[in-house]
Order: sequence, then C-alpha cells, then structure tokens
Amino acid sequence: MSHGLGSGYDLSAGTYSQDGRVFQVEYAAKAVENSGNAIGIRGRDCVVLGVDKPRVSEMLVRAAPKNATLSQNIGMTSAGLVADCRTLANWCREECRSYKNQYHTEIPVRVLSERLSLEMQEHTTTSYYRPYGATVILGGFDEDHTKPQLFMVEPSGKSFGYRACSCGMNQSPARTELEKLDLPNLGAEEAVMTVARILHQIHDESKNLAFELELSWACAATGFRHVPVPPELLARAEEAAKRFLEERDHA
Amino acid sequence: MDAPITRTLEPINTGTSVVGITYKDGVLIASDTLVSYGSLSRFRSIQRLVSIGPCLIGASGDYSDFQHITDLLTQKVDEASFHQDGFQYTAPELFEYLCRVMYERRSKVNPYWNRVVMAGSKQGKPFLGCVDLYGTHYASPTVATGYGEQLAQPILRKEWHPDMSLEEAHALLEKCMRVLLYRDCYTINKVQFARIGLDGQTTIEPPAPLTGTRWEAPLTITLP
Amino acid sequence: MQAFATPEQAFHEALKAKGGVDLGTSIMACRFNGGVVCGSDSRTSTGSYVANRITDKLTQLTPNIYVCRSGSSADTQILSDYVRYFLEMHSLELDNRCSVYTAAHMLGDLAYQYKEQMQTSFLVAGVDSTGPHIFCVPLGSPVIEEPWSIGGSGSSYIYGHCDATYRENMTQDECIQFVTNALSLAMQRDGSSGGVIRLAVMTNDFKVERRLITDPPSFSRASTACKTARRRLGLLSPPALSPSLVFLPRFPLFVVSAPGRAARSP
Repeated sequence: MSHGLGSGYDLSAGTYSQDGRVFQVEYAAKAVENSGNAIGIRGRDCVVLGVDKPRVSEMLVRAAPKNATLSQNIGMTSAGLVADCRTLANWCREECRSYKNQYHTEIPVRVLSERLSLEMQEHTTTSYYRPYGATVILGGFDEDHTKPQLFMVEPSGKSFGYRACSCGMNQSPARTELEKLDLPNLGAEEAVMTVARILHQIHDESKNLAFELELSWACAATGFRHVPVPPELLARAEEAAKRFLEERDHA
Repeated sequence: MDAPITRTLEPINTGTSVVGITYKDGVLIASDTLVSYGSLSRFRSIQRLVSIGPCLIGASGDYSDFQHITDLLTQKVDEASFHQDGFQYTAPELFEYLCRVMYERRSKVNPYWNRVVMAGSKQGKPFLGCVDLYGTHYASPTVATGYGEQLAQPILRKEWHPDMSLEEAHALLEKCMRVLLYRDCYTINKVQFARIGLDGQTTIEPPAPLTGTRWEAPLTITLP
Repeated sequence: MQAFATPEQAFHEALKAKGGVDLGTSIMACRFNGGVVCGSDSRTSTGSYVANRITDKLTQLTPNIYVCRSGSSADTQILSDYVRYFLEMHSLELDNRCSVYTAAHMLGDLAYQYKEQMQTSFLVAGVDSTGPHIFCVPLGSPVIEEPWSIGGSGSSYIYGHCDATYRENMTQDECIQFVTNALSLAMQRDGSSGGVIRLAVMTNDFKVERRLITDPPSFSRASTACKTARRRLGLLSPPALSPSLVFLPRFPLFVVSAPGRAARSP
C-alpha cells in the first residue's frame, strides 16, 4: 500500500477512494496543468485557437505542429501529454471521416465534442485504461457556416461549449484575461492578436523557457476552413504582443 | 444449394463519351450532361466533370460507381490536406492510386464499371490519363472514352498538336462532340467543357448546346 | 428476347417470372413553391395477380421526409425500415431534423452496397431547413437530386407528359394536380399499376398531410368521364380538391410489419 495523497486508492481508474473520488482522473488533470497553455476564442464569425510550445532543446529547428485540422471546418488545440493529444487528434479525424461516410455531411462540432467526451470518459471507468492526460479544445464551424462553435473536453470526459476557454499550466490567469474581452464583437484578426497577446502575457517567465507560438483559425476569410494563421499575420501578432509586454513593464 | 454470387453484369445508369486533350497551357476535357437509364435519357443535366484537389476527372460508364470514385478521391485529397504539412497529391500520383483501385476491383471480379479520364499537370507540363474498368491505364495527349474511342480519337490524333491554344483546343473538342452527337444514340445536345491549367486552376464551364450542327445532308438524298 | 424501354421494366418482368412480390409501380414526387408532393398508386402484384390493392408505397422516414418505394416489396421495405431507424438515431444526436440529403444518401449507400442482391428504386422527398428536396435513387443506386422525379414501371409511359406539363414554382394545388394527373395516366397504361392514388404533401412549415384519391381522373376519350377529365387536365384552378379526396390523419398508423412482409395496410 502506497502512502501519500491517494492512500492506495489512486492506482487505478477502476476504484473509487473512500470519499468518492477517482484519483487517476485527477492526476490526469494534473498532467494537463504541467503542460503548456492552449486557448480558444469564439469571436464574431470566427474561431481562433492558440497554443504555446516550449522549446525543449536549443537544437530544435521548429517544433511539430500542435493544432490539428480534424475535418474541413473543424480544428483542435490541446494541452497535456503530447502523445495523448496526437492520439486524440487522430481519433477525432477518424470520427469525422466515419460521420461523413455515414451521413454525407460534415460532423457538427457539438456532436464531435460529445463523441470525444464519451471516448475520454470511457477511459476513466476501468483499471484497464489510463485516462487521457489531455484537455482538448475543439473549434470551427458546422456545415451551414452560420455560427462559430467552441467546445472543451477535459480528461474526466466533461465537455462544455464556451465563448472562450483555456487549459494548461496557466489556465486561471488566462481565463481572467479572456473574461475581460468583448467576445461577441471580436473580429477575426483582432482575435488572433488577442490570443497571441494573452499567451505571451501568461507565460510563466520564472521558468525562463523560450516558446513558440502556434495559431490557427476558421473564419470568413479562410472560407470557414480551419487553417494555420498565415505566417505574416502570426509575425505581426507576436510583435504586437511583445510590444504590449514591454510597454506594460515600462509602465 | 447455394446460389452463385452475382456481380454487376451491366451498368444501369450510364454516361457516354468523355474526350480530352492537352493544350499549351493545360488540359481541356468535354462531355455531355446526360446520364442514361438503359436507352431512356433519364437524367439530362448531370455534371460529369468533377474537380478534385489537383485534378479534374470525368468518366463514362456507371454513374453510381463514378459517384463512389469521386467520394473516394475527395476523401483521399482532403485527408492529406488536414495534416497541413505542405504535402499535396499531384495529378499523376492520384491517377496511379485510382488505377490501383480500379485494378483491385477488377481482381475481385467486381469492377467499377467506368472509364475514367483524369487531367492535371506534372512538373510544369500538362498531364492527361485514362483508366478503364480492368485497370488498364495510359497517359496520352489525346484521350477519349466510350463511343469517343471510335469516333473522336482518330480526329484528335490527326488534328492535335502540342502547342495548341485554348481556342484551338476548344474548337477541336467541339468538332468531336458534334460528331458524337450525330452518331451516338445515347448523348444529348448539352455539352460541358472543363479545363485545368498548369497552375492547377480549374474552370468548369456551364453546360451549353453545341452550335453549328449541320443537317442539310438529307436534302441531297433523293429517292430512286 | 423481349426488348424493354427501361431497365426497370426488364427487372420487373424478371421478378414476375421468378414469382416475387413486386411493386410494379407508378411513383412520383414534385417540388412546388412551398414544399413537396409525393404520390403513388396502390397496387402490389405477384405475377399477374393483385396481391394488395390498397398498398401504401409512401413510407415516412422522419416526420419531414417520405420515401416512395418501387421494386421488390421485401427489399424496399427492409431498407426503408433500416434507414428510418438510423435517421431516428441521427436526429436524436443532432437534436434537430435530418436533412433530406442525408436520408437519400443513407438509403443510396445501402442500396448501392446490396445492388447485386436487391431490386430497389426510391424517390426520397421531404423538406428540411434548406427547403424542399427530391432525390432519386433508382436501380444501380446513384443519388441524384431533381426538381421532379418519377419512378416505377408506370413511369416510362408518362415522361413526355411530365416534361411537357411541368412548370417551376407551381402552387401547392397545381402541384397536387400535376402529380395526380401524371399518376392517373401511368396507372391507366401500366398493367402493373392501379388502384387508388396516395399522396403526401409536405410544406416548408414542416406540416405533413396525407391524401387518398379514390377516383383518379380518367383521360380515355372513349370514357364517359371525358368531359371531367379534360376539365381536370386543362383547368388547374377551380380547386382541384373534389369531394373524392379523403383526408387521412397526419401520421397514419401503419400495421407494423415484420421485415419481408408483402405490403402494408393503411
């Protein structure tokens, strides 16, 4: 019997603790909090997803992409164990594909988030599985392109729709920043600038790790497809974010 | 006793000839907009030329199989694009894939009952290929399926040259479509042209009737 | 070997020879400016015997989508039963109405998959959030959208009539008259079609109305009903709804049939 937080009830997702908790699920949430940050914003007719990728080595030329396109109009970003995130991205892609094969329309973002949450919840019920150590933010448009959609699915299987959401190491300060925004009136470019600024702002400087910013979006300008933000706009957004931080430090 | 397994013995909803040629800035293909149901001209405004990623395809033969082929290729192209690593299939690559699929199906004695024309570009040059229900395939600057194989191909081979302008190519295909209109029972006078440039830019023209058909010949025939 | 105008007729004759229960049929669907009308005759035959003279060949897939069935009864029933079940699950997941496009493609995929084993031909008609739609899923199972569509063995006799009389943007009454006239003509020339005309009218406000026309207009010149018929053909206004139109409940209760049963009773 191990000693510590779980007192022996934390070794399997198949067992409750005596006060009704499933520690493995909570540890999975901890895994998310140990990783970089991811943010999703649903602005006016746009969805912007952003993530910061710590530079793990000075020899790394460019970090692998973390935002993933799942179907034409849906993208995801995530925080947590990178390998779990990739597995979930592939799982979602397969789900989008099978939905389209079956119904001949693109899967609505809400339906995808519900199916993903079922998949993740299933990994919290038996000792056979380790719960996914990843929180996934799904964003994009449904086939009718009428309304931007944003959902976040957590390791426990919880899934909600958001106007803006954050996950990762600094999710709380990020949320504080997001709450200040006038989201329904945020245009696409403005939203890109904002996501870049917040990701720079919340970055934990004490750890002094360099990081790379990755942004993707879906809006009228992209034909409602989920694509990476063009490099030119990304550079502009980063520059503005750095300038903002400098000005803040001077003040 | 078990009944024998049966396969498609003949296609039901069929499209007729597709013709295509390369010209100096790309590839031009043409077909009518008819899907016949046996000898009945059942569906008269069906677009049988489809743009998929880096290529343009058209097919004669069974229309439901053609719908499946387009779904298959569209999915292939889409899935590659989701990875956003800059990779994109080229037309010859997609053509090779299609040929394997056609051959796989014929090996299962359950072929896609089509002859598919695929157009695109390859290293800055126009690409035009054709594959049939057995998986037999070739690339050629002039291609024709269905009745076009008999009636259009000789005209194309005679009059085609590599530095044709778009206008010349258009006129040549119109000429072929006119002959096919005269001599193919299962075609209608509603013809569609589509082209794909060397940059992959696709233009599908709206269907229109052919002009300049000539019917004076019967006037010269007199009964003995 | 006998020559047939359409593959449908050839299949119909082949099935008759095998002794199968067949919907040698006339079915039709047509769009109007505020919805869609679909209709069918009511005859089901085994060979030359009328197995059921009041068949309902219009099957409700969802509250807003109907399918007109022709081909082998058993095959079309089992496929539409499956699709109805799939669509119910689908609309629960969507928390919304299914699109006609999805319904038609689900039916088309199943029919395509089993095209060597089954003889099916469908018209899927309905309204969804994008308006009225008609999809034709004939033998061989391509899926093709059309403004109006006809099917079944009787359809081969009325292509000319429909081509000549169809107009875009008809009113509901005009559309009902168009469908009724066309089906009557088909039923009078096709020995495998007959009985009464059943209609389903779906409007853009998602209302569905079933109608039964027990005395289809007669167009025979020798007939004593000649005058009536001409009036009906030529004049689309005085309201086409004669006392012979019997109104059925909006969602008729079908006798739930086991898969493979010959036909449904109304």
